[in-house]
Amino acid sequence: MIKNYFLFTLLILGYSLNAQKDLHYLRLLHYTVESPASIHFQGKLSAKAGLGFAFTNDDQHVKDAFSLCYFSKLFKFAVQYKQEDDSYNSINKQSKNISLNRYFKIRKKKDILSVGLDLKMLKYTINWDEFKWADQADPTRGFTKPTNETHTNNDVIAASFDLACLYYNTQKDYFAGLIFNDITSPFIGFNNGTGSGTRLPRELILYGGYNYEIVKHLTTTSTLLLRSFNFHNDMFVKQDIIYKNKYWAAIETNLKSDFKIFLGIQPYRGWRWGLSADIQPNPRSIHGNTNFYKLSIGYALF
Amino acid sequence: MRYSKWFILLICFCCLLSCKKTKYAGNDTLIDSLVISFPNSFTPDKNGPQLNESYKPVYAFGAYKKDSDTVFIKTVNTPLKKYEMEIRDAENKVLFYTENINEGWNGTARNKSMPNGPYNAYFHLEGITQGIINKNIQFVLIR
Repeated sequence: MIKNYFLFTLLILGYSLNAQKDLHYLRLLHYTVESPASIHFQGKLSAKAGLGFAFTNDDQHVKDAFSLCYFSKLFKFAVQYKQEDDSYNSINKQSKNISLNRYFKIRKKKDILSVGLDLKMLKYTINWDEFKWADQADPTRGFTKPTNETHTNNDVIAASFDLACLYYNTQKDYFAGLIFNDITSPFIGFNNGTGSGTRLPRELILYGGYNYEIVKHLTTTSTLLLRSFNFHNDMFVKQDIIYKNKYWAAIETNLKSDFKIFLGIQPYRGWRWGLSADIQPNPRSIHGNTNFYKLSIGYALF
Repeated sequence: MRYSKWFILLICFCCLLSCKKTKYAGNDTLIDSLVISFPNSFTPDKNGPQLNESYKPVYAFGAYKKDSDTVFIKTVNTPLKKYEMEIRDAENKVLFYTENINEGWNGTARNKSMPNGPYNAYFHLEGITQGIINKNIQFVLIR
C-alpha cells in the first residue's frame, strides 16, 4: 500500500549567525543541520505535517522560509520544495530549493543510507540607493555627495546544488552524515561588465551522534558537528534531553563564546511550543552584547 | 560675602556648561572637533573610486553636522589618543584589525577574497580629552 506523507512547514525565522541551522522550531524538525539527506530521518517524517511560526527580538536581519515535502514510502523517494527570503541591509536574497531524496536499506534492512540532492536557484536583489559609500561622505552634511560608484545590476541570479548523505541504524540509534553545500561555488557579481565578483564559498559539514535511553521515558542525544566554511573550521556540540517525548531541552555550543539553549514542550497533542536563546556575549560581534530569543509555536497538521 | 557665594555658583555653572561642551561636541561648531563618518558599504573591485575600495571611516576636522552615522569626538587637532577597528564576518570571526585610522580593510582575509555579504566593524575611539566611544557598524561587501 502506498503511503504518502506530506510535510508542510512555514517558518518565520529571525536572524541567525549560522543561517544553515534550524534554530529551535518543532522538536522533530529542529535538527542541528538542515540536510536534504535527513528528510525522512527519525522524527522528520513522524511529524508528518506541521505548521509553525517563530518570533524573535532581532529586527536587523529577517529571514523566513517555507517548505513543502512529498514523500513516497514505496519508492523510498522524497521531493521537497523550500523557499527562503533573507534580507540584510539593502540586499535581499531569495532562494528556491528543490530537494530530491532517496534512501537505501542495506545490511538486513537495519542500516539506512539516505542520499539527498538539493538544487538551488538564488536571486539577489539590491537596492543601491540605500548604500552609503565613502566617497559620498561630506563631514558637514552626511552622505550627501553623489557617488562615482558605477553599478548596473539590481538582480543577480545564480544556481547551485548541495549534496548530502546520512547513515543511521534503525536499532542502534547512532547516525552520521556529511553535507557538501554549494558544490559548484557559483560566481556572484553585482557590478555588471566589470568582471568583479566573488564565488559563493563551499561548505563542508560532517556530523554524527548517538541516541541513548538513560531510564525509561528519558532519552538523550549527543551530536558532534565539524564544519569547514571559507577558511573557518568550527566544531559544535549539541546535547538534547527528552522526557516522555513531550518535554525537551538542548544546549549547543561552538566551545568558544557562543551557545544556544532550547526548551520545548508538547502541551497538547499536535502542538509544540519552544523557546530558544542565542547567547553571544561578545561586544565586538555583529550584534554586540545583544542576546537573541526566539519563541516558536508549531502544530502537526495530521 | 553674599556676592561671593553667587560668584562661586556662577563659576560652577560655567564649568558645568563647558564640561558638557567638552564631553560631546554635538552640533556645536568646534574647530578642533573630529567628525568620523562610517559608510555602510564598500566594493573592493579595483574599478574605483579609490575611497570605496577599502572599508575605513571617513574623518574630517572642524565639522559640525550630526547624523546617525556620524560620531563627534573632540580632539586638539590631532587624530585620536587611541583608535581600533576590528572587522568580523557574520559568523563572528575576526578578519582584520588595525589601530591606524588611515588603514582600511581590502575585503580579503588570509589572502582570500571574502564573499559578498554583511560584515561588522567594531570601533574603539578614545579622544584626547574625552571618554571612550565604542561603536558597531554593519556594512556590506559588494562587488
